[in-house]
Amino acid sequence: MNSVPLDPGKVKIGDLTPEVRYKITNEQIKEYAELSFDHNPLHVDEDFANKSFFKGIIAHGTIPLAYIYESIFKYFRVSWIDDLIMNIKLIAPVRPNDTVACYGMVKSFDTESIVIELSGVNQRKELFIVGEAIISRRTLETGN
Amino acid sequence: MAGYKGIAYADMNVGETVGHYGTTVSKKDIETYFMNAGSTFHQNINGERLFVPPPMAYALTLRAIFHSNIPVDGPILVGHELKCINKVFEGDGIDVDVIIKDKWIKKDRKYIIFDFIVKNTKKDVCFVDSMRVIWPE
Repeated sequence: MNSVPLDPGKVKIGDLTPEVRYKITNEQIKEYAELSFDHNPLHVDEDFANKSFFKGIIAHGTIPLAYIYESIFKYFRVSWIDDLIMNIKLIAPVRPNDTVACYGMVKSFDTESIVIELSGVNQRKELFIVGEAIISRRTLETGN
Repeated sequence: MAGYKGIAYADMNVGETVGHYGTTVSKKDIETYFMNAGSTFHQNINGERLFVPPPMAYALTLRAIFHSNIPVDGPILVGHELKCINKVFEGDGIDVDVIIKDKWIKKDRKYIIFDFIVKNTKKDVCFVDSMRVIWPE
């Protein structure tokens, strides 16, 4: 870790985690299909996808999750958090050439944990992902 | 490209282990993931062996489900709950078990929750991913 981790005592309700913004590309979706073995035709077969409910190729739902994590890790200035729990609900598809922006907001905390509400929006400001991260204060305080 | 002939919804039984995937996670695997994500948080790692970042765990659990020939054409991912318990480092062997945690039908949609238990070769649980999907058919 290049910088000093955030002191969990300094976390405040309403704190925003840094926004992480990326453009999703068709090439990235194809590479992710290779990486994950997930060649679901909704992701890689334009004819199939065009005839589907989605009317076109959609990205693997797990691709933009990287940016949700990146936002949280940037906030805490760590690269790993033991006992992290991330609960994510995908509410709209992400398509090739969408630019996604992911961020979080500290919703609550107590002596045991910190809860961060998570969101991701596309370039049309449409919400495509919501969720919650639960972070154990113990692991932050022990320097993980 | 369509043509997956996996497990029919009716044949999925709650509590059943329906798949397994074992691999050794290479440095190249992790670097390929970082390149694909375009993500920068690998730049924060100093002098430590590379380890699987939490979002890469999803790619490993997807590998398990496809390696085990579970999907049919067109399942829709609804959500995930991922618990990060222990790091998986480059060079570590892992085993992923796929278990049917729950299933139900609501408004004609066939929901399934798959649990993926990722363990290292010391049998430590590293990640537990509960994946919620809608099964086509």
